[in-house]
Amino acid sequence: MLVWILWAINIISLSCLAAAMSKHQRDFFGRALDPKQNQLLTLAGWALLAVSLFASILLRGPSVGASIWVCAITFSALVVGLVATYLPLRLKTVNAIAAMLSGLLLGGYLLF
Amino acid sequence: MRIDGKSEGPRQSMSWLHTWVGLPLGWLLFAVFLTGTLSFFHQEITVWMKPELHQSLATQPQAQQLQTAIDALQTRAPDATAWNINLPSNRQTATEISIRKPGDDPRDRRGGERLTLDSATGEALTARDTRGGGFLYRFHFDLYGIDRVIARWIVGFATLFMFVAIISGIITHKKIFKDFFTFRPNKGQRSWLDAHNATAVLALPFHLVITFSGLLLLMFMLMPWGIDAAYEGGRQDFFQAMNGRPVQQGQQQNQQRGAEQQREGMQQRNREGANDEARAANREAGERREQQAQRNGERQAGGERQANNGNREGRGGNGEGREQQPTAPAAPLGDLVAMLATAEQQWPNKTITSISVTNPNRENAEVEIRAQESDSLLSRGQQPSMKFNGVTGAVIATPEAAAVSIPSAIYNLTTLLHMARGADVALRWLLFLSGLLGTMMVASGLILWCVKRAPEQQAQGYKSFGYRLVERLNVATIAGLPIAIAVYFCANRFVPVGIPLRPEMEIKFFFIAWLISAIHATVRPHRSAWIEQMAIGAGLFFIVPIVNALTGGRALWSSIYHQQWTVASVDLACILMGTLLAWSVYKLQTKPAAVVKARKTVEKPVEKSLIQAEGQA
Amino acid sequence: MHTENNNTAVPAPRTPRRKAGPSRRYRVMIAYRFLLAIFGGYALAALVAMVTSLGFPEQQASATLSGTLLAFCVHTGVFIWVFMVQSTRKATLGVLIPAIIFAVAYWLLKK
Repeated sequence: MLVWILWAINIISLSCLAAAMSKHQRDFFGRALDPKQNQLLTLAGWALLAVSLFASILLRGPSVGASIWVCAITFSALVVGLVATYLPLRLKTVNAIAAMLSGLLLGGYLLF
Repeated sequence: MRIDGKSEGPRQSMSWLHTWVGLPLGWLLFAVFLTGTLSFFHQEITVWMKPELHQSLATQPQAQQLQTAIDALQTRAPDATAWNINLPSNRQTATEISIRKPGDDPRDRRGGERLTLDSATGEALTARDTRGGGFLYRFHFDLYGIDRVIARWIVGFATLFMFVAIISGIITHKKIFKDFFTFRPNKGQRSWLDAHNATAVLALPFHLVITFSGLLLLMFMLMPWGIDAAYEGGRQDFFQAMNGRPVQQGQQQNQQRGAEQQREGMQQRNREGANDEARAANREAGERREQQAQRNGERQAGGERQANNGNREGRGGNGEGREQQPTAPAAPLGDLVAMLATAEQQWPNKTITSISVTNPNRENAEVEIRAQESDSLLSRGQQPSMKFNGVTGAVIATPEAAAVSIPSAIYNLTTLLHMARGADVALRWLLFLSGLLGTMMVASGLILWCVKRAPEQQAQGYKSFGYRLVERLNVATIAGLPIAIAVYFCANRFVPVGIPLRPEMEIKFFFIAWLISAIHATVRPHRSAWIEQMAIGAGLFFIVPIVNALTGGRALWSSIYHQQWTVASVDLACILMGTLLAWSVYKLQTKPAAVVKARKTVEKPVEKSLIQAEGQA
Repeated sequence: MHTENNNTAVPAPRTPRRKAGPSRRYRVMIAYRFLLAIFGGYALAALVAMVTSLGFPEQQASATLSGTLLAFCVHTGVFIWVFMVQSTRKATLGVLIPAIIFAVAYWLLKK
């Protein structure tokens, strides 16, 4: 469960980081973003990564939590990489799905 | 390392090093990576390969399973010196029990009666004789058919090359973060390079940990000099010191620790992998026995299995054994189900896997319950465990684990992750999938070597010997090994049960299939060899679940319906493998190689299958 | 394996190289560097492990394990070093001098 949450949430955070890179912006948005938006995206990406790492460590202890987090974001990054390659225009859709998924799972996790 | 001796930048020389350190042992590394990745699930594979065990459906509550096991033990061996019960979990379908009788030689690790029970009925199940996943597990560091020590040196050497290749690859790549999400499909060599980079970079922490810990797991053989310099008694003394005990110990303490050791022995013997490891360690230890026997005062160092083993062997010379322990008066065994309930309450999110009882039906009975998932991977002794008085059921307080120093925390974390010990299902799957990425990294690296040199070969008008050799070895390894594994799975069902040397026969099929694939790769044109072997591999992997259903195993629909994931996941993984191979065949065929740059486009479609595989992962 | 495909450094012309084949001198140099990296690196790594193990007697167990962990990193580092530097003599000295230093240190510690 925790792994799925980490995976879904970090699809969002890594998408933010990818979207902040100028080389991907034309593919994603058809135009370059201004520096302020870039900064915001970078900040949001790193913040989400840090928060999820912190939560994972809090829940499962430093060694297990960090191991799970590192392994999980590998596969978040894989998704972002595949989206950037094959479905760059669907980035927002994918992120919406990821957000919904992480919301649902997080809700389920907190409730039960 | 330019041939003309002109100066070049560090990244150029690292690129050269990366190529030439990666290639010569690349095929071995591919085999080690693939079999090692499967070894994360070697226990599941073993269960799959014993279809007789598929009938045991573990749908009952654990309390009931435990009661069934105790009933069986009470009827079979009420006077045993120790019992061990391994309950069904996500890693096994049936209940395993083992019994240690008073007369057993306590130093014989293979001793003690082992039984597998149907978890519902308590009926004993007899499974066919097979090495199962243990073969793949052993192969990934002991290879096969050559001396264990030599094999480990070879694998250790390959691991060092891998480590050098990773570091030099990082230096070469440089733009790791800039290219993090970059992949350019359908661009020939560029795509291969991207695929190689992506599989390497995405799972880089995994690759570093698995390679470094691979060296650490062999460190007593590869790098004993520091330990030998500091400790006269070698690794036994070292482990004692690691556990904070003085090196010189009196003999009388041996006796006290007898019971504990015995329980540990039971525990270890009951885990398939540990069992294999123990056997290996035994052999290894045998060589040192004489030296060790001379040294008095050697004791259990705890924590490290190999050291334990060596000690146990070594103590043979002291003439001291557990069998001399006096027998305590009889007393009824306490309520194990209640103890299980206490443990379940303590660990709401953990899987309880094993329960061991020392001196059952005696006054000094003791029960230890263990769970699968560790809370911390920083020290070895932290597998969750609770001890109970076996008569009253009172909890015996276990001492807090001592603080771990930084180097041993590094050692423990990396090696425990390498072996997925104490990992829950999710982490085990993540490690498995990361292992697949690593396998693809090695494969794409090997293929890239050819793709890069294709234009040069084209220009020269013929393929040079070295180039052809690499091409053929690539087919024979990257396509041949999966075929051999699928054949091994099928042979498991077609080699008749009960013939002598049955496990060896299964393994023979594995190697014969691999050999045929190598011959095929040599005689067929390169492109045809790829297509045909991929097609055969795909076919075999699709057949495996069908064979399973037809030869006494639980069919996939049934195993899913009954949530017998141990069996279902192996079938599903085979279908996934088959799909990937079939897809790469389709890609190879639809993209004709008859473009001008013929040789270059040959492997292009395969790479897409690798990317696709990542997607599946 | 990853060379610079698009920007830095023009790839070395390959066809002429093929025809000439690597010179004997070049082959010997490469073989020498591999031997130096493998055996020299191993020797230096072993010496580092031994010195580290003996160097901190008050925390010997920790030091021994650290030394062994360090040894594998040293061996890898030597590998990288041997192939990173241009001059073969420099590569040799870079392994030999630390090895002598550590050997002397070990000898002093042992006494």
